Amino acid sequence: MMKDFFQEFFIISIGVFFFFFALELIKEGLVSNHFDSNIILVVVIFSGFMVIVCDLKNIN
Amino acid sequence: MVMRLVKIFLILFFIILTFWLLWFDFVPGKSLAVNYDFCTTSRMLTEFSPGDRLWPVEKGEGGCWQRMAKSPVYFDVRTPQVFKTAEVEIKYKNLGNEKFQIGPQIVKNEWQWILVDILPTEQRGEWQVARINFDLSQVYQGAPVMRWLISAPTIEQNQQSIVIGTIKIVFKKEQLSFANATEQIKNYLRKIER
Repeated sequence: MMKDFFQEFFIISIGVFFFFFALELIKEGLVSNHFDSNIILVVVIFSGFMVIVCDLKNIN
Repeated sequence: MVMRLVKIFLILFFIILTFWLLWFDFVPGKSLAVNYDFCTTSRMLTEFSPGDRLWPVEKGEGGCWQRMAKSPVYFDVRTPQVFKTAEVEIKYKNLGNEKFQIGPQIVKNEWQWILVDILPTEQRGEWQVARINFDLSQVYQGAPVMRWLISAPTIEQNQQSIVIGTIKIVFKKEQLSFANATEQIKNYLRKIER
């Protein structure tokens, strides 16, 4: 359950991060003028880390 | 079931966030204010450049400021929409009464600027404050960035410096309505980088 939760978080947030990255490339400032997308990157790293921890400790 | 709800919540959250960003970037209202006070970096207004014409940013009780030693210096403003006018408020100290001008670039990559003299309209403590209105109808706005120039051609020769405290630019346009929606969407799409 816990692993599934962080896995979902990881997949969705990494998708959103790349989507925002693409939006920023298409139109400079669209995301970065109002929102710091590094926050999403922090979520990606944290949830990825938690998935690894769950795997190592055999937590479902 | 819980996982499905979490998934739906996350997807909805990011969809709402994307629309919120698009809405803010579109600037549906009448104006967009951009501030730069030298203490914190602004997302919409870049730091002044080139660095060899400026002293490092100084910090004091009244805030932060930067001394201009050579002319001209530039800054870029990321304008998400096409605007009709701009109202610039600049807080500065020009103790030597040097010729001091500001203005946006008219044509991208060309040396054409709308330069207006910066003359004090208000005294705020030891700072001078000037307010200048610009008509942006002549300015090329097809790029995501609008370049501005600050000129003081005689400061190097007279060994003077001009201290700049804050810059506030209020860009103005018509409010979004059914009548001008098509035009504003076209203007917004013009800003997409090619």
